Amino acid sequence: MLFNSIEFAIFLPIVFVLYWFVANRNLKIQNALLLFSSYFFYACWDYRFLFLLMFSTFLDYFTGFRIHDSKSKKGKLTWLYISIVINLGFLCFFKYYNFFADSFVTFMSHFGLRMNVWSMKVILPVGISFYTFHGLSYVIDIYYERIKPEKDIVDYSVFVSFFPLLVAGPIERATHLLPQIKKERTFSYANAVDGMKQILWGLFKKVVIADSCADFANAIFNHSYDYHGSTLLIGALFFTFQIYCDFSGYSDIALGTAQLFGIKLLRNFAFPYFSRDIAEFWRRWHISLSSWFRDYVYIPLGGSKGGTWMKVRNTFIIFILSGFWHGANWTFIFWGFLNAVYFLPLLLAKKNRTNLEIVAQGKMFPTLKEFFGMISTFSLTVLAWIFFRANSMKHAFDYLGTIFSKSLFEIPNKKPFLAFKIHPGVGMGLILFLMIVEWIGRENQYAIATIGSKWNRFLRWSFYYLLLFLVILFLSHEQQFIYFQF
Amino acid sequence: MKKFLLTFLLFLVGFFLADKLLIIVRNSAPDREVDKRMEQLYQGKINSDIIILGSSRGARDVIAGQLSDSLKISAQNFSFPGSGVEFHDYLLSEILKNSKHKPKLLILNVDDPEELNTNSSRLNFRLDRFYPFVKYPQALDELIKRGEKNYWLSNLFIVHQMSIDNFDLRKRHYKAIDTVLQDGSMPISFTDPRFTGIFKDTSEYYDVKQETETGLNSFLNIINQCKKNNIELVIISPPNYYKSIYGFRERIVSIVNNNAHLYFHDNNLHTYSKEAKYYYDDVHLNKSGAVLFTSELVDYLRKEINLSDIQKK
Repeated sequence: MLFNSIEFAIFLPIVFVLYWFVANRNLKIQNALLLFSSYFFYACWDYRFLFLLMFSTFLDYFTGFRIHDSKSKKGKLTWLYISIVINLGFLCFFKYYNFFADSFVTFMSHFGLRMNVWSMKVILPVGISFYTFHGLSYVIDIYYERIKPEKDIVDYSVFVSFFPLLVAGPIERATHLLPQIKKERTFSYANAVDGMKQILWGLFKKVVIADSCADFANAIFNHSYDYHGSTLLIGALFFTFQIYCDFSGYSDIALGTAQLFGIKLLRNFAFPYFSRDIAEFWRRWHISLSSWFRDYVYIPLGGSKGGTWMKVRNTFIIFILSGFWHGANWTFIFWGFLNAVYFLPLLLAKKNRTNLEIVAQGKMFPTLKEFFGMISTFSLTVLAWIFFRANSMKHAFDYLGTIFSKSLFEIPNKKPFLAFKIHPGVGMGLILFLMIVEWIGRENQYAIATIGSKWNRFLRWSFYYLLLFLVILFLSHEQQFIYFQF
Repeated sequence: MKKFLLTFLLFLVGFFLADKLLIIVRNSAPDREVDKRMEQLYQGKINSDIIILGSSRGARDVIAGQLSDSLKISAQNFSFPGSGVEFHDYLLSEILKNSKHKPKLLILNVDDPEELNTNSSRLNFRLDRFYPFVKYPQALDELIKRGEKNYWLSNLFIVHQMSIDNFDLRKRHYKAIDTVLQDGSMPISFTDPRFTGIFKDTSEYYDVKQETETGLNSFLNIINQCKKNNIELVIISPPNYYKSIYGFRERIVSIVNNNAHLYFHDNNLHTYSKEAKYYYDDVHLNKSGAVLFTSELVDYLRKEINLSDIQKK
């Protein structure tokens, strides 16, 4: 069941009505309803993997207690390792088995050895990267005594499986979400309206921008060898907006949906394409994953407390891990590595925490310095996304090679833009509209949070109608969210 | 809660009513179009004896009017640039479904080497041609069938039946390259500035692996529809300014299996096709070239097809 599907449009109001009208008098019933709905939501993908989700939930619930109850440090550590090994074992098996097997065969072939490794068609259970990280953060937090284990298995299961975040995050923390699940929730008109607006904006980003950009980006990346550098650059730009609108659109829908149930999820995006340097970009892009790696990998490794070498090493580790988390392909690993390389000069010059506040806060336009900072950061990001999107390293380097060739100055090819339902000029116009709205709303949690709040109802609703018209106009075959594959 | 539900309901009702105003935009879309062949199709106005189907090569290289004048049989070119075999199969089905007077002869242009490859970026199912005529249920049904539009949403909301182009309220005008004549043909009187005029004398081998199941099934379906409806099928391949792809003709022959006539232009027999002055680019003839190729086709039809039967039918 996708957020941009008719099924979800039916599912959500039913759960909403049951939650506030039938189960509203008892928190336990409300949570049980959330859990049942979440499992139903997940089973719509593939009911077989529901058992894996349940097993993973039970494992962390159980090991959480064992860690807490162990008297010795060694006992705590043993149970922590059991949880980590089993969780990561499942993740590695489903996500990385074929990658390691194929890489091993290729490596051995360099020494003239032909290996026959058992390869399988492993189906990736949707959301496994996300709920595994939920569970891991929970047991690690118990180990470090930041939290106590949750006694109520239903409440804990809702924390792991809450349907808005189940398949593509944000990656929640027990310290943030569990207290909300355990607290009685009252309906708030303002919160519900805010949630609806955020859902609408998320749908606009996904259905109107991301899916339109996907048509063009796919047409160009899939036949990149036939096109000029200028066309490939346009393809890279379209992908840059596709991935942002796809994932941040998903996150907006998730956050808005959770808000309808009185729950606030962690923010995942904070207008990353307005970042003035790459360090700021990483504080604004997929925030829940970046902060997860910071808290559970970077800091335990020593963070930036050690010498320069340790800082550099730790930075490369988390960026490469972050790339690898996205999938079993060298292109993702290189994407992570490249971002670490981008980050390095800032780290060495101790300027990685320069741009902490919102760009041009309280002003209409940025300064020239800010503007050039944003443009250069955006350009570096576009180049890195080529590796993220390419089918292989060779494809990525060939793609880049064509961009940085004389054909960059040729008129773009027409072929990849033929036979799509929108003209590329319209696509670019929509991107411009998106960027203007995001710029206006950059000081808020999401772009349209306060837009129109001072307008009269007619104007305000006209703006929402415009967005809704565009969503329904562009809605065609349900497009998967990119991050579902991770 | 009550306030939220009431506000939300009011919002939805307002949206539902505003949406209905779009009927005016949707229904006026065909009037803004210049190429109205799809509308003629849905209105059952395609009643010629000879129909030409194909991509831009079918549209530019075969002049239906000349064919009609020479053979004294009505002819209509129903080729669309950038369209592939799946689209041609659809057009034939619709012609047979809607027209009062069924065609007697179908000329199908095939493109080497991508005819049976529906994954090709060059030849597509031209969904964009449906949107201006989406007020016709046949057009909307096809969009729904192809997953472009959702059945429930398009029944609920007019806006879901449309595309962004429907909101461009300007009257369309032909570009020099896309001018459709009365007979549906689209000959070009100029040359692509990028055309080098150098004949490519080397050729590649046809790769059967590039074919898709959909492409092959659509092609077979065209053959079957012709057979079932007693339509003479002539498969043609107009000249290219390069040497033919090895094995493409043989592959088509093996699929057709005596169920159609085949006319593949041979540039050893007709040397005009080796002269650059007859081309728009290396895969399309210009108007002078199209006149010569159409004459060549007329000669072939006179020789191979019993035209008197068609005239009598």
